[in-house]
Amino acid sequence: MKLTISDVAQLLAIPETTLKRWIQQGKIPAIQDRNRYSFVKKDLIKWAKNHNIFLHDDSRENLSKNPQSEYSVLEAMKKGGVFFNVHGDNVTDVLRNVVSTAQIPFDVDKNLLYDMLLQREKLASTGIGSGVAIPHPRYPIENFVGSTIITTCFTEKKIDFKSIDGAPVFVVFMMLSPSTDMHLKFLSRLSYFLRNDSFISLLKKCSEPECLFDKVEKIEKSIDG
Amino acid sequence: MRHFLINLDERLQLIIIAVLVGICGALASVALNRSLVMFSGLLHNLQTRWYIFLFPACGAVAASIFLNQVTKDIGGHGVPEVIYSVSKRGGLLRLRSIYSHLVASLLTIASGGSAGPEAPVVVSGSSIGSNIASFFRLKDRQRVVLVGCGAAAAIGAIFNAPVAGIAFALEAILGEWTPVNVIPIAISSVVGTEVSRLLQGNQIPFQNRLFSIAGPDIIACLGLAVFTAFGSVLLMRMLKSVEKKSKFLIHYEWIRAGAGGLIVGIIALLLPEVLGEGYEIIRTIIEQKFPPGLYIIGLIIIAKIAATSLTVGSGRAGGLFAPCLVIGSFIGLFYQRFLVGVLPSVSWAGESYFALLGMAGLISSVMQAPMTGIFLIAEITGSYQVLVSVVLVSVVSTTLSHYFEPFSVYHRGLAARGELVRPRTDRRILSELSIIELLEKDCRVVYPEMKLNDLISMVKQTNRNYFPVEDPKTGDFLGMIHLDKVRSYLFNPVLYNSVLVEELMDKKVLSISVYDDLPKVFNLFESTGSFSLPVVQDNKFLGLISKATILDHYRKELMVQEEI
Repeated sequence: MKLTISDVAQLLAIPETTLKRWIQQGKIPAIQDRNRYSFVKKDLIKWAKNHNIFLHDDSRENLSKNPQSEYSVLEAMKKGGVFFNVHGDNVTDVLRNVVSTAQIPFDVDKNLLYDMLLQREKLASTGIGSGVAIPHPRYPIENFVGSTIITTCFTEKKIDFKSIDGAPVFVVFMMLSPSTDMHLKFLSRLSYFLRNDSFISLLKKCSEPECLFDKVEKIEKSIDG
Repeated sequence: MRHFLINLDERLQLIIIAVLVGICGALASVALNRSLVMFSGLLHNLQTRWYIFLFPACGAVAASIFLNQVTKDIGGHGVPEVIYSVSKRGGLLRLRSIYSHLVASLLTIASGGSAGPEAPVVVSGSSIGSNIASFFRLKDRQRVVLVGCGAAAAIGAIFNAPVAGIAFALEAILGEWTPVNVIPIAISSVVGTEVSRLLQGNQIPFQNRLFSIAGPDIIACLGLAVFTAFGSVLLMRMLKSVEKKSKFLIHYEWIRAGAGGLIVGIIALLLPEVLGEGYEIIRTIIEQKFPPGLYIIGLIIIAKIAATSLTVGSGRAGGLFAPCLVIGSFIGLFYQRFLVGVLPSVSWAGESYFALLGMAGLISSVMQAPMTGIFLIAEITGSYQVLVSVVLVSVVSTTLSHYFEPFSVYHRGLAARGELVRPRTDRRILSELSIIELLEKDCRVVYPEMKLNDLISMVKQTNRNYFPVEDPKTGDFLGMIHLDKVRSYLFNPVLYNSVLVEELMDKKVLSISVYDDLPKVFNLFESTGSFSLPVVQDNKFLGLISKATILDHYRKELMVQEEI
C-alpha cells in the first residue's frame, strides 16, 4: 500500500518540512518518482519498528474527534425516552421504576444498573437542585457500546432526594455514558440547561415529550451557535 | 545501468558506486602526479638561471588567477571546504572542484611553491564522489559516505597507502567510524590504490633499510614527540598568522599569492631545500645521505615552515601532507643529530628511523589524526617493524599539540566560525532542526479590546496556556497572555466585564525570529525560565515554540539517525 508525504507526516506526527528533510538526508526509505515521493506502508512499519518510532494510527485519531452531534442532549434524550407519572414514594422506589421503564440496550443488566445507581446515591445525592435529579452509575458501564442515553422521568409525587437546595425532586434524568469523558461533557451541558429558569418552569408544566424536545433543541442551538 | 543501481539495496549500491569513485579518484591522482613529473622536468633545465627565484611568484599568481577568476573556486588547501560540505551541505560539492584544485596546485607546486599534491587530489576525489552520488540520485547520507570514498581513494592512490586513505577519510573528513561508512570507504581506497599501482607500478615511496631498535631508542621517541608537537604548533600558528595578516595587508588575492610566492623564492635562494613538494629531500634523508650539520637543519626547518605558511596561507591551492612530511623528517634528523651530539656513547638507531618517526609525529599533530599518521608512515616507508615507536610518537605528539591547538589545521577555521558540526552531536541535531519545523500554529489569537469574560470562554475551548494578542486592524503582534499569570483573576467574576485583555497581557515578551538558530533559542528558554516563546516575523505572530515540542522533535531526530 502506498502512502503520500502528508499521510506519513501524520503517522509520524511531524511537520511535512521535517519529513522532506529526512528523505533528502536519506534517513527514511522513500520511493522517488521524478519529484514526487511515496512510501510503502510495509517498509515504513518495518523502519519505524527498527528505529523504535511510534506510528500514530489515524483510525484512533478519528474516533476521539467526535462530531458535535454526538454531544447532543436532544439525541441522548430521544434515545432514552420520556416518561410521565413514574410511581414511587422514596428514592429507591423511584429509581427501581425508572430503571424498569427506561429504554436501555438489551445487554445492560437492569438489576446491576439499579445497584449501581443506589451505590452512587449513597455517596452523594444526585439531586442538583431546582427539583431535578440526575442519577447515574459511579463508573461507565462495561461493554456499553454507543453514545450517551438520557432517560427523562417525571415522578408522580415529589420525592425527597436530599438535594443540595433541599427542594423535592419532580423530574429525574437518568444518564448512562460509555466513558467518563462523555459523562462529564453531558453533565456539564445538562447543568447549563438547568441554570436556565425558563427551562425549569417548562419542565414543571411539561406534559408531552415534544414540548421538552423543542425547548432542548432551542437551547442547544444557542450554545453551539 | 543507472536505473538498475538506483533500485538496488542501499549497501550493495554504495559498494558498487564506491568502486567507481575509487577508480576515478585514482585517475585524478595519477593525472596530477604525471603532470607534476612532466612540468618539473621542463623546469629542471632552468634551475641555474638567475631569475629562478621569481618562479614561485609567477606560479602563485597564475594559480590564484586560475582558481579565483577562471573557475571561481575557493583557494587554500581545500580540505576545509570538503569538511564543511560534509557537515552542513550533505556532501554537496561543485563539479568544477574536480579539476580546479588539480590545475591550480600543479601551477603552484611545479613552480616551486612549498605545498603538496595530496590535498588537491583529496578535493578532486571528494568532488568526484559527491557528483557521482548526485548523478545516481543518492541521498545526503550516502553522498557523504561517497565523498569520504573519494578522499580515501585519492590518499590511497597518491601514497600507495590504502589503510592511510581509510583512516584519513574517517578521521579527518567524516569524523565517525561506523560499519556503514567503513565498508564502502575501504573498498574505494583499495580500488584506488590498485588502479594507481596498475598505472604507476607498486612502489613504496620511501623504501628504507631494516633498523636495529634498542631500549634507548624507544625512550628517545618521547623526546622526539615533544619536538614534533612543538614543530606542528609552530606551523599551525604561523599558517594562521600569515592567513590573517596577508588578508589584512593585501586586498587582491592574486597579489597576495604573488607576494607570498616572491618571499618563498627569496628564501629558496639561500635554502633551495624548501622548494616544491620535497619528496626528493625526504628520500635523501631516509637513505641517510643528507650531509649538512645541526644548525643548517634547524634553519631549514624554520625556513620550510615559513615557506609552507606563505604558500598555503597566502591562498594557493596545495596540500599540507608533503610539507608536513618534509618538516617532520627534518625534525627527526635534527633530533637524531642532537642526540648523537649530547650522548655520543649510546648507539642510536640511525637517522632514517628518527626521520620517519618525525614525519609520523608531525602529520598526526597537524591533522589531529593519529591513526592517519601511523598508517601513512607505516605504509609509505614499508617499515612495520617500527610500528611501536610510530604509534608512541604519533599519540604523544598529538596529545601534546592538542593542548595548544585543539583543532586540526583542517577543522580550525570551521570551528572558529562555529561551522564544524560533527555527526551524532547535539550541535548537529540543533543545526538540522529549523524553527519552522518546530512551530506550533494551533494558537487562539485574542485582541486587546476583548474583556476577561471573552478570554475565559476562549480558554474553555482550547488546551493551550498561551494566547498571542494581535492588533485587530493591522494584525501586528502586541504581546502574550500566559494563563499562569492571569490565573488569579480568572475566578473573580467581578472582574469579568471590567478587565480588558490589553490590561492583562505581557507587552515586553521576548520573541524569536524564524532565522534564529536553536542554540540561541535554548539560551532564551534558560534565561527567561519560560516553557514557550512566540515566533514573530515582521511584527506578525507566526506561532509558538515550546520546550516540550522541541524535546519531541529532538528525540525523533536522534532515533532516525541510528543506522540499522
